[in-house]
Amino acid sequence: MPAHAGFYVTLGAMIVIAATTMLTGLYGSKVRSTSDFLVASRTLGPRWNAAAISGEYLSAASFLGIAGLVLKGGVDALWYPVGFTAGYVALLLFVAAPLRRSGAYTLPDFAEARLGSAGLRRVCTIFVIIIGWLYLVPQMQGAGLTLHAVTGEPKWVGSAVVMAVVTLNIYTGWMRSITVVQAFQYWIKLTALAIPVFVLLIHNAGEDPGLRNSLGASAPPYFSHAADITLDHDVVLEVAAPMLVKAVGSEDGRPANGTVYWAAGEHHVTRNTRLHFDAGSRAPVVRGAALNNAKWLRPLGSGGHPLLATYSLIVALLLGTMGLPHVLGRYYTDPDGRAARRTTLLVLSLLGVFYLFPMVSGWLARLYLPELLVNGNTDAALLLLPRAALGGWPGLLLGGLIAAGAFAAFVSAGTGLVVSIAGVLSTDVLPGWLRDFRAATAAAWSVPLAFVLAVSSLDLAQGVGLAFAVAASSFCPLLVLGIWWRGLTDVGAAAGILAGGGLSFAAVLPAAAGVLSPGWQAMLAQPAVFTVPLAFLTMVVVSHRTSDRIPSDVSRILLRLHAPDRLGLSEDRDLDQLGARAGMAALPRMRGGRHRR
Amino acid sequence: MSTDPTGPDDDPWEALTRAAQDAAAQEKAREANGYPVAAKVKLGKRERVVLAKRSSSRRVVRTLAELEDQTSVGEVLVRQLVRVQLILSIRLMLLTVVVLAGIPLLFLVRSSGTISVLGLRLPWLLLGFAVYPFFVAVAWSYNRSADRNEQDFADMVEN
Repeated sequence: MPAHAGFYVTLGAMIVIAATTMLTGLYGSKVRSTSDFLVASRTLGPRWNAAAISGEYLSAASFLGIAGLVLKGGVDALWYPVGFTAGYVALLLFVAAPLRRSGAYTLPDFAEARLGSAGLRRVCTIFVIIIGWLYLVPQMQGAGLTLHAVTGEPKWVGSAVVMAVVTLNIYTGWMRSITVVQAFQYWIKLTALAIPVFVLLIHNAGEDPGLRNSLGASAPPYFSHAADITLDHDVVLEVAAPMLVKAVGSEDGRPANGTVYWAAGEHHVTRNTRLHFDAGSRAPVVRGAALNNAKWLRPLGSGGHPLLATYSLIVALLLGTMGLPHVLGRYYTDPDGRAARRTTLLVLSLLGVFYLFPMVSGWLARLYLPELLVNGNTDAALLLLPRAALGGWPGLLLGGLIAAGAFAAFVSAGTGLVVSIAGVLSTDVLPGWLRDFRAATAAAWSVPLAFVLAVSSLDLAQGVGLAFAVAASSFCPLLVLGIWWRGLTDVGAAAGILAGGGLSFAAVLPAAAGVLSPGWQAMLAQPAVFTVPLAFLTMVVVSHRTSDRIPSDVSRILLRLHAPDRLGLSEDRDLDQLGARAGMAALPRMRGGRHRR
Repeated sequence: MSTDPTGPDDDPWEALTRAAQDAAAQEKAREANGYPVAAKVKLGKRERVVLAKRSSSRRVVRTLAELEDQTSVGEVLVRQLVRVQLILSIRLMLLTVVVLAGIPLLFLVRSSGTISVLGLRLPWLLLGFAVYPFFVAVAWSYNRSADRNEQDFADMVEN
């Protein structure tokens, strides 16, 4: 096989995906003109929009991260996909239809329309940026990882390449965030995952059943063939039973060159150490991963307070989805509140189908890729799986397909996020300095990029979980109380957002930077179970105290939000203006900034 | 659509004016009696006078005007709708939360982790497969009920 074959295959697959996406975009924009773009896309119906929402939503965390977490943590990791999906149940029950009828396109729009306060709008804007940045970090990290797994380039190269593509994308408008393109993205991601998984399952069914059944055994995972592993960062390995291992480098503070004896327990191995495992030997695992398959199969296996951590994760994911900046705008494509509800129902089905595949890949990775448990790069599981299981050209081709699908996930999620952050940066936050949308775009991605480069970070899915925690502690109370409670005031809303969102951000920031000891890490990375109630409570109490500030037209606004669509009371923004804001090619936004109502 | 004794050819403005006078009179009468609700019955009576051409405007002028102007009838109607919808949402949210929060509690029972159904351990079956149809079922039943609540409200306003 020629050298760099993996790189060329992946590159080829990426080009095919990019070209088809662009063609779809061109076709989509030829069909309708800029000004009536939204009206036209409204004729597409909930099915298209549901696929578009799912396409934009399935990011690095869903595509790569879940398989890695399942490999590492077993059944507990499944709370991530479950929570990512459950978020749409909460969104449907409390937010979807009224938000659509409010005519707001972004969260700051909603806050301003509901409570009429410019100050509150600014607070919301800041949190849109924070959440967007937190969400961008895992996308870039995943991109670095993907390129590293395919070509061996240093990880920063992949992050930089993805941001370059995203920027190009925004400047040229090649891959617009229009409904057709995003809907297409969902099917690309599903295909790029489903085909390899099906092939691998068929392959696995034909293999020695001993390997397959080892998942059900209580022993640690084992190497089905000999493996040489070079560590690219320091790791702490847990060993279940005493074992001999060949090491070149340094372990437990001593230089090693040859066979070393590892007793059961923890062993520190430094960067650049080479480890060799014979076929059939048991794999030690990085700290925090399930030590043996019996633990892996059973829930609540992680240390600390597994029940509390699980609940906190459920709260964050269940309530965080509704506060993600790039999700809400999509609902504007639905013609009315009822369609927004039907769309959400379809989104739930689409996500449910998608999330079967990362789980199955996690099982397969546990069989074929125990070396990732040693070097800690579990997020790369999906990328390496076809080559490890199949080898040869089939493995190469399927691996290329997965890598290209992952790349599509980073680019589509990254573009949506960068556009929404740059939009508020250039108009709301720094209008004096950053009037130019291009400069704002650079600012939008440079902060998270610097963060990715500077600090070692969490697993992809956990990183995304932090963004959900902050969103759940800031925007969820604003939306739920704003839609259902007359008594909300602007001061109360701002106080709640600052208390809940601020505290959760203060908690997750050190967790994201990875500077904490494992105990604190587990506690601070999941703050939602405390900060969400705090935010709700603050909003209610402060609103009661400032009840003279309840907007005088609150009844009229609530009527708009809740009146059935066929009465025709809901209010839409001017469509021309919205066409500009929805970022038809983002160009109008770039030049003129955003129009205020 | 219900019958309109003023006929579709009558001047809609005349109907509107009459409607407004009628509304004001009823409002006063109601306040005098200290009798705020009974909206459905009264609206049901009034509807015959009011209807403009729905095919063109799709609006029921007077009731909508009341809703928009936040007279006490409109206010009560909206509050009622919001309450019904909120109760529906809370009920289904509680169901979802109880199921989601119950799963880890079930897992605390050690033996639950070793039960196999269809060759899969129970936790994997629940979290990997079974929750998704559950979510879809919750969403489907919500959509049906919420649509029906809105339907009832709209019928009440328009008839």
